[in-house]
Amino acid sequence: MTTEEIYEKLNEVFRDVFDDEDIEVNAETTADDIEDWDSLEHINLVNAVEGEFGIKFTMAQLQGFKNVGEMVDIIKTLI
Amino acid sequence: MNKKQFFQGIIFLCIVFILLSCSTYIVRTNGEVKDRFAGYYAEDKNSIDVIYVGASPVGASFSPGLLWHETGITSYPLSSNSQPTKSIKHLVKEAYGRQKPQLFVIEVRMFAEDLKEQEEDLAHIREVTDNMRQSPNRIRTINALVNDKKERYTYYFDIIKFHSNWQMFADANELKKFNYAVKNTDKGAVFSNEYMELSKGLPEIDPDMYDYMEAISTEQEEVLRDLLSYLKQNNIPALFVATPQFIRAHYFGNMHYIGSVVNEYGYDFYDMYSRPEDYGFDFDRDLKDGSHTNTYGSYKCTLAIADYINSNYSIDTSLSNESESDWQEAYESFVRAWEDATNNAVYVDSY
Amino acid sequence: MTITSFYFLCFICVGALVYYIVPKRCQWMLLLAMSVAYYVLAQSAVAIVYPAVTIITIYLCALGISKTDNKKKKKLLLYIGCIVSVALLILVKYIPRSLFGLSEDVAQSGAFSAFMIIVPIGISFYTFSLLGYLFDVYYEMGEADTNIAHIATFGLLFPNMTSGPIMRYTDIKGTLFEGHKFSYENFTRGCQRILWGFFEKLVLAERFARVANEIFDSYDNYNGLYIILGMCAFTLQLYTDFTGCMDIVIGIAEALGIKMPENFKRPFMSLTIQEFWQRWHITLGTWLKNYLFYPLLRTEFFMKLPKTLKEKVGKKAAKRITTYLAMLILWTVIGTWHGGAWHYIIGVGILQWLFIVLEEMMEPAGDRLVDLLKLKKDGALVRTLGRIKVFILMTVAFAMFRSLTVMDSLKMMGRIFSKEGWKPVICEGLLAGLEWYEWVLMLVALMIFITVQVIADKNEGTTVRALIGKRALPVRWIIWIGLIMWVVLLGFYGPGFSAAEFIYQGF
Repeated sequence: MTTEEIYEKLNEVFRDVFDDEDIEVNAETTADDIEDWDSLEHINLVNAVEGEFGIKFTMAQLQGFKNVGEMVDIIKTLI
Repeated sequence: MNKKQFFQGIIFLCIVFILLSCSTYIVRTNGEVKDRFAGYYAEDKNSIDVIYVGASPVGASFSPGLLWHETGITSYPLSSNSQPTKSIKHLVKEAYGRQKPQLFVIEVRMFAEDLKEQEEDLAHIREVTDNMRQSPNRIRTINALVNDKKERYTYYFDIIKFHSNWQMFADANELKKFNYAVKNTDKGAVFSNEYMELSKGLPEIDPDMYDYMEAISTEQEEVLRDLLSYLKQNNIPALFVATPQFIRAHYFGNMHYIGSVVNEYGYDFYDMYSRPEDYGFDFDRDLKDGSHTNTYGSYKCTLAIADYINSNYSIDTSLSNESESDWQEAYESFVRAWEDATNNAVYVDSY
Repeated sequence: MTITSFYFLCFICVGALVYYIVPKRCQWMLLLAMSVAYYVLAQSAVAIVYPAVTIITIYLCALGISKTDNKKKKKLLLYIGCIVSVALLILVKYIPRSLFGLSEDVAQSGAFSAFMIIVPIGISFYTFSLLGYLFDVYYEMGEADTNIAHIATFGLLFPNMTSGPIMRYTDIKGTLFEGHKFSYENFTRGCQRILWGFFEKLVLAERFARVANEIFDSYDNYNGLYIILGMCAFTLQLYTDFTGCMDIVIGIAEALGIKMPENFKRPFMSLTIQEFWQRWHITLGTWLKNYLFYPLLRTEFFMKLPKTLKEKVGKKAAKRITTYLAMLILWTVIGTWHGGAWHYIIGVGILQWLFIVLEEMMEPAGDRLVDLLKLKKDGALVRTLGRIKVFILMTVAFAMFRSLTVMDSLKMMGRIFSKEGWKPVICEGLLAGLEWYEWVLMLVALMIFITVQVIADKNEGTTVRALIGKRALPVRWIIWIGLIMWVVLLGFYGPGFSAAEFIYQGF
């Protein structure tokens, strides 16, 4: 899967989880940039990403990424 | 850390230390003992010939103003209520910090009381230690008087106990005591216009009783002997005295016993307790309560001791450089108190 | 040896001096020695067996986990570590001594019974710190340390020992074990923070305590405004007490060059209860999120639940119910961590869950109301109302926490509406436990406290101490010397005042 395809899928996941059709994520996007992305929603987001890509994050990975770019790096290693 | 920071830090700490010191002095509980000690430290150095030490009767029985007027001798009491006997030695040392006394007059009645009670009487231990200026001698005094080592720090830093008296900062008289030196007009004496009529209750005194001796407790005797050895070793001149109060038979014996121990070390004991009639003491006029004289009694006792000192000791009054006006004022204050005791005498029922 | 006591101050002064004299590589060893000494002096030599057992167990389990690749073995070691630590915690905190048929009088019991009666200081805190380390190793979020002395230092570290902050090993091991050169700035800032902690504890918390104790302990004598006053006083007492303790702990660490995690972030500036708990006892919240909440939500049950519910209630509701259920478990644990009694479990547990859930459910209605009233959502009025709401809700919850039972707290709060009117109650010259001038002092101190918080809030990137540090020397010195004298003269301490024990120390 190419990076662009990953981001396309991610946008869908984000829009679904946060119920906002206008969300566009990039490598620098962090939790501060999206209103409802708090520690509660973080897990829901991670679960949804896992479901979408058919992967499973470890506890270290899901707590470790600081922005979407880092999450994408992890996704790439798990696909 | 560079030099500038180091010195800044040191100066900062010094300022804090000074402020805490002054605050400590200001917030100590006010009262006659604080006024007395603060007055002591305000006296010019080398201006006091005689220092009294002992419990509350000292302040009530001796008027330094009157003594000075009669004899030219300056005197000052380092006395406090129910003064623990163990503190006497340390107060003698304290006196040498600022003065060169030619005689110590030591009131002995607390030697007849229970030593253990004194050791547990924290309030009266504090009345001594919390009225001394901060110094190495004060620390040694605290160590000698306070048995509970863990509590000593509340004595070293008595602000820990008294800081809740911060209202003292609003009292101009207490603010002046920031250096624990405010002149005391009466030179530490206390006066009273009250009197009781106690002659009816006096016991019959058998002639044998004048020789009767009753030993004080072994612990107290140890303290007394320790004091006497210390005085003797350091050639410190002292006169031991028992002031007048309501007479009790066993006390008779105690006083005589104390006198004999004192004599063993070559010191004099002036027993004003056993034969008060010798100096005209009147049990119906001179006592304000069972243990303390009033201004009338002070007049008699002061004259009596003036006489005794002049007859038995040679005090060179030229050695002390007191301010005449101060002492004249002290005498005049005494006179006013005496007049008050005469014109406004208050009779108190002896229960 | 409470951390506002004279002897503790001497202890840290001497300790700090020695710390900067010993070679830098030995500094952490000195911390270990001091921690052991503190534990023994503050409690007893016997009590140290408790943390020692936990430390050794966790050390061995973590090491074992890191050395094996077998998943089953790892899990087993994790369970062993957890069970031993938690069992000790439960044994000490939740099982009444009477169950062992032991006499309450330590002096009369034999050695074994005495051992069983001891409640080791800080057991809830050090247990959590050490368990966090074990979890981190298991989840590969941190490395196991082969040096047991390191783990011992981490577990026993005074002054965190008494009431936190709960530390995360991976975060703190760098700053804890590396050597620290004396830094004038760190040292003075640390001392200033300790001083501020003393101000919060001795000048503020103790005064609020007088009022709170008076009202809570004899609420039958009071009505209306007084009950409200007492409740507010307790909230303020709890806050200044706890944050004061934290300032002293973090200040001591800072003076030694060690960076501790923050535990409070001006919680009463929060606009929602959810936000409050992100700013109050932060390290506990973080710990629970990392090691309880997330693992819980990653279990099979919780991952499957939204899918199961989706058909019945729709996707959004399914997600919500899952989250709420997990939160309910979380909050029940938080309540229970504070104590085994219902007023803890509900007051700072289930009730908080209820507040958060209701807040979330009513958010759309709230937004509509704000729009209707044509108010600005981020405006000062809305924010202030939010803060008032948080204060009121938390005061009710803390009142339950403080009362002896849930019923007791409800009875007390019921008296707010009593028909007996709101007459002033003056008892022995004291208005609700304090003389009138003490009230003035308390309010003035509170104003200063709030001002400092507001200044801190407006200057997020720095600290109030740094801001003061920029001022001219006379100004700085007047502030700090003034604060010292204020604490010394107007603090509630010393013989004649009740012992200054931190509320959270018993946890």
